This record gives sequence, structure tokens and C-alpha cells, in this order.
Amino acid sequence: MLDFKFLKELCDAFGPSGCEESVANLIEKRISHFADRIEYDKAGNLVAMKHGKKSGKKILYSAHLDEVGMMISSVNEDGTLGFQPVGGIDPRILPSRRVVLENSLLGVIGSMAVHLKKEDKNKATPIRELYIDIGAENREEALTQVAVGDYATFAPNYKVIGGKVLSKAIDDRAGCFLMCEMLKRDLENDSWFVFTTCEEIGGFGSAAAAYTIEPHVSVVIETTTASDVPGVEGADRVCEQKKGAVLSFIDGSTIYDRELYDLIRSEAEKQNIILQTKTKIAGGNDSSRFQRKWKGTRCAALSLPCRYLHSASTVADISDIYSAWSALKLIDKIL
Amino acid sequence: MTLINIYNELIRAASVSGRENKISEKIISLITPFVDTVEKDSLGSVAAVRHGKAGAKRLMLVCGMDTPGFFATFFENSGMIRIAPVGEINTDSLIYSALKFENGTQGFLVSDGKKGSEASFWVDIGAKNIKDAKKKVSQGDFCLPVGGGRLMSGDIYGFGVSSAIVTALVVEIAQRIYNLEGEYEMIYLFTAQSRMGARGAAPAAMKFEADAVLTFDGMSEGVNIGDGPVLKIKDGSYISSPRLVQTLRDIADDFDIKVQNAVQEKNPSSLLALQMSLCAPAVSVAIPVKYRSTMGEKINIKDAEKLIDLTLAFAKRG
Repeated sequence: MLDFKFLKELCDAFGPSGCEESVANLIEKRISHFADRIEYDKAGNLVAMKHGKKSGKKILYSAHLDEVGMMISSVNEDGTLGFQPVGGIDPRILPSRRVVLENSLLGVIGSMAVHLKKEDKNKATPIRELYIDIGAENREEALTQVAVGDYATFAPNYKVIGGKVLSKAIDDRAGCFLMCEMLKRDLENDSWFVFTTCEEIGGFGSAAAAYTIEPHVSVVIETTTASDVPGVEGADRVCEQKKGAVLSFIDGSTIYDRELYDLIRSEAEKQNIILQTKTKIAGGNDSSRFQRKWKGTRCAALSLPCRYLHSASTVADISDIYSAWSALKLIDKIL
Repeated sequence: MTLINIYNELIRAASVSGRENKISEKIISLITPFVDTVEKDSLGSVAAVRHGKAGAKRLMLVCGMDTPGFFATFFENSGMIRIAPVGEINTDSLIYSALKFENGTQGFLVSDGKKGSEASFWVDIGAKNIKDAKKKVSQGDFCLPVGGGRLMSGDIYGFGVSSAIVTALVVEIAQRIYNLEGEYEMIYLFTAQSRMGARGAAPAAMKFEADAVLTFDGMSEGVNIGDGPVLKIKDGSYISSPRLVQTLRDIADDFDIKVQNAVQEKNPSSLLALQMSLCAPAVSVAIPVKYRSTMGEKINIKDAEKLIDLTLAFAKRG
């Protein structure tokens, strides 16, 4: 059984892109007894190596530490804070969300009341017109608590709802969580577990790791958008919850290794592990860097189908997390 | 083998970006007699090396080996298979054209009649229903238009002819350089996923050192087929080495080879990736193409032959 208490700890931790230390430290503490070697590289990636029973192949598993968030870009005269997004966030989902700053200060994203809007009331308010309200009376008071350049994220909110988990940071703490669980196991192959930085802003962390590790195979554990929601039918759903983890053959930035894809898919079928594929090209992940930086490597990606990705409340289905977990154990066995 | 014979072998092995196994195996079989080593990398790119004399300079010739195509994304209850493009492809021009999946299943492309990003496309393989379709094709299977490669008074037309002729001319160069005592050690790279933003070029080149790089491509903007090979002075990502451009111009003058100059705002080639990874002077050359990525894609065989002459003269000059 997976230890979901640790997933809660991970999801509630503060770690927007470029500010992942507290998440990395939490993981380091968790895996220190299980890894043979742990180090931080120059890009801030946490790299844990564990020897397997077999020698010869170097398998790289990767999940990213960072989550989408915000950075304070101005402190206004009335004590509110202007901000810029860190990573891709749909402006429609921002107003009235609770956020925390890196010093644990609580705030709320504010916007002009809809009845005061002069332009189209149905149009999303642009991020430049939103602000974070931390309750400060004026600029001077706000500046005693924050500075331009400080980070913020959606407020921690991990919950189990029905058979699903909900959190601001399922993307990609769920991937980090599964890698930590893998590290507890006796593995078949020499394995490098890379907890990467800055995936949400271009994947600088994975690019650096691709140069230093040179694996034979890389397996990225990620999340992907499931549009199995009312009003969306057929191929437009992309993937659906409760149908297993997504094994990708193509996404917006990578065409995955055919033999690896076929091998995982066919072996999973034999083991009754339910996996699915996406019905539209969408998104991308650290695989593109692992595949094409330095001399390149063969890649596979396993993703959890998630609703409301890059929002304050991303939702993943527990059965899909177990599907990914089974697939990871299988991958270690068959490579 | 003549250029046309090589071309005929390669067009029959045409492969979609990311699924280049068929074309790469064909290239390996064709080039192996003329090089000292051949290997494939993790993305499927083929690298072949013909060693030169001691201290010889290293000349790298690079071309993409893939074509754009489609892959199956979703099965409708009716048995129609929804597809999405891989690489830049003029889908509208291919409506009602025959498509062939990797396992040999054939069908034809149909559309819902909408334009641009609103449009949806399917392959009709004659399946009675979804169950029947899934017996013949799997989600993720790649397919490409078939029926390309007809010769018509010096021109060759059909889907994918530019990729096949560019690959063929690099194989032909390897064949003709084999017995020469040139100043260069020759490195031939046939890269994977070239039609997806030159993804395969940098990893393929990374393990080699080169003193000069020539990339081969097809191009359609601002050039005429039959008017000679193209010197791509600038494309969407890179400016060719002025020194190498001038050398090629001098050779063209000496050998009375008519060339066309091209400066493009778009269409990034593998040149930038190679320059960044190799730190070597690089120049992009091309054969002119008409109606690119359609069933009527057309090239002139003489342009390809002249580009071979130009490249061989460049290699001999050292």
C-alpha cells in the first residue's frame, strides 16, 4: 500500500519554480535511508542513486519538484501586491483564491467586483489587473512583510474526496511521491531518481540532468490534463480518470521511443495493469530534454490523468495513482 | 547504383517522423558498402563514417530522413479513425488521398469540411465499426500518404519526394566519395524527427567533431525548380557561414553550376542545432521543391545532380 500521508506532506509543501528547496529537503529526509547516494546538482535537482540487482543499464526516473505559482512584482500604495504568474496559469481561475507567500503569510487574490467592470463582464480579468491582498493597510506596512521578488503559491489544501485526491500541487508531487516509494524497493536496475527543478518554466533542471547522467532509458512520471468533464465528449476528452495512467506515444514536445512504448504496453496488458493513451497531442514534459539534450536517450512517460491542472485544486484519481505505481514496478522489472 | 535507383529504394521506405525504422534500415543497407562504420543513436538517427587520411579534416553532411505524416488518435463508433498530423503537412491538399499505416492497412483521408484549426480529419479504412477498426489499427499507429514518386520529364512528383531525393543524394555522394583520396574524413548523418523542428540533429552530431558541416534540405519559398541547387544564406534560425557560402559560390563559378541564393524568415533547419552543438562552421544547401508536403510535391532531378557535383567539388577542394 502506498503511504498517502507523505503525498499530503509533499502536496502541502511550498515549491514554485526556482524555489523548490523545501520540497527537496522533505524528500531528501524521506529517502536518505533508501538511496545509495544523494546529491544536489548545480541546477538544484535532487538526484538519488540506488543500485539494482542487475548491472549494465542506467535507468533514469524523473518527476519535477516545482509547482505553478506567482511572484510579487509590485507593492501598491494601498498595501496590495501586484504579481506575475510562475508557469502557465489560466487567469480565469485566479480571483478569490487563497495564496501563501514564502514566509507563510496568507493572502487572497483580489479583483474588481464584476458589477463595476466596464468592459465585457464575462471576460477573464487579466493578471495585471489582479492583486494579492495580505490585509496590509498601506505600502509601508506591506513592505515590512514582503518584497518584490517573493514567491507565492496557492494555499495548501490537500484533501481526499471520494476516491480522489485534491491539491494545489498534485502536478508533480504525485510523481515525486511515486519515485520515493520506488526508492523503498529492491530494484532490478541501477536507477537514478531525479527530482527536477523548473519544469513549469521551461525545464532547465532536466536539461542539466540530461548532460550529467547519460542514462540508457529515461522514464518521466508526470500529470496530464484529463478533460472527462461535462460538455466534453469523444476525442476531446484527451484522457479520462479511472482508466489508468497515461502511457504516451506522442505529446506536444516528444515522440516517444516506439519499442519502449510497445514493450511497456504489452507487458502491462499481460499483467492486467490498465493503462491508456491520449487522444490528442497536448502538453509536454521533461522528456523532451532527456530525449534530445547531449547525446539523447530513449524515453517513456507515465502520467496521471488529472482534472483542473495548474489550478488551486488539481484532482487525481487514486486508482490511476495505483496504476502508475504498478506500471513503474513493471518497468523496473522488464528493462 | 544511380541516383534514381537509390531514390526509388528510399521512396518505398518512406517513414513518418518518430517512426523512422524502415527508412533507417534501408539507408544502412545502401550506405554500408561505402563507409567504415555505421550506427544508430537513441532517437534512431543514422551516423556513417568514412575515415580519411591521417590528419584529414572532418566534413559532416547532414540530412533529415523522415517525412511528415499522421497518427491515429481516436476510434469513432462508426469505425472511422481520427488522425492528427506529425510535422508540417498540408492536410487539406490530401483529402481523399490514400494513406497507409505501418502495418500495411490502407484507407483514405476524409474531413469534416471545416477549415484551419477547426477542421477534423479521419481515415476511412472500410471498417464496419469500432471493433473492426481496432482489429486493423491501434491507437498511436502512424500513417502516411502513398502513391508518390512518379517521374515526369525530368521532374519527380508525389508525396515525400523531397525527403527521399535529398537522402538519396547524400547516399550517392558517399558512394562516389568512397574511392577518392579526399582531404576530408566524411561523416554522414541521416537524422530522425527532422520534420518536427530538427529534433534529431543535435544528439546525432554530439559525439562527432567536424571542421565543416553541410546540411541538405528541400525548400520551396522564392526559388524555382530546375534552376539549380540553393544556397540557404539565412533561414528562420541561423545564418550560414559566410566563408563556406563564398567557397561554394566560387566552386559553382569554377564548375559552371548555376545556384540560387535564398534568405528565409521562417523554416528553421537543423543548422542552428548543429552549430550550437559542434561549434563548427556550417552551411545549408537545398534542392528547390514545388508544392511541398502535398501529393503534388515536385523536384527536378537535375537540381539534385548539380548539388551532388557541387558537394563533391567542395569535398575534393578540402
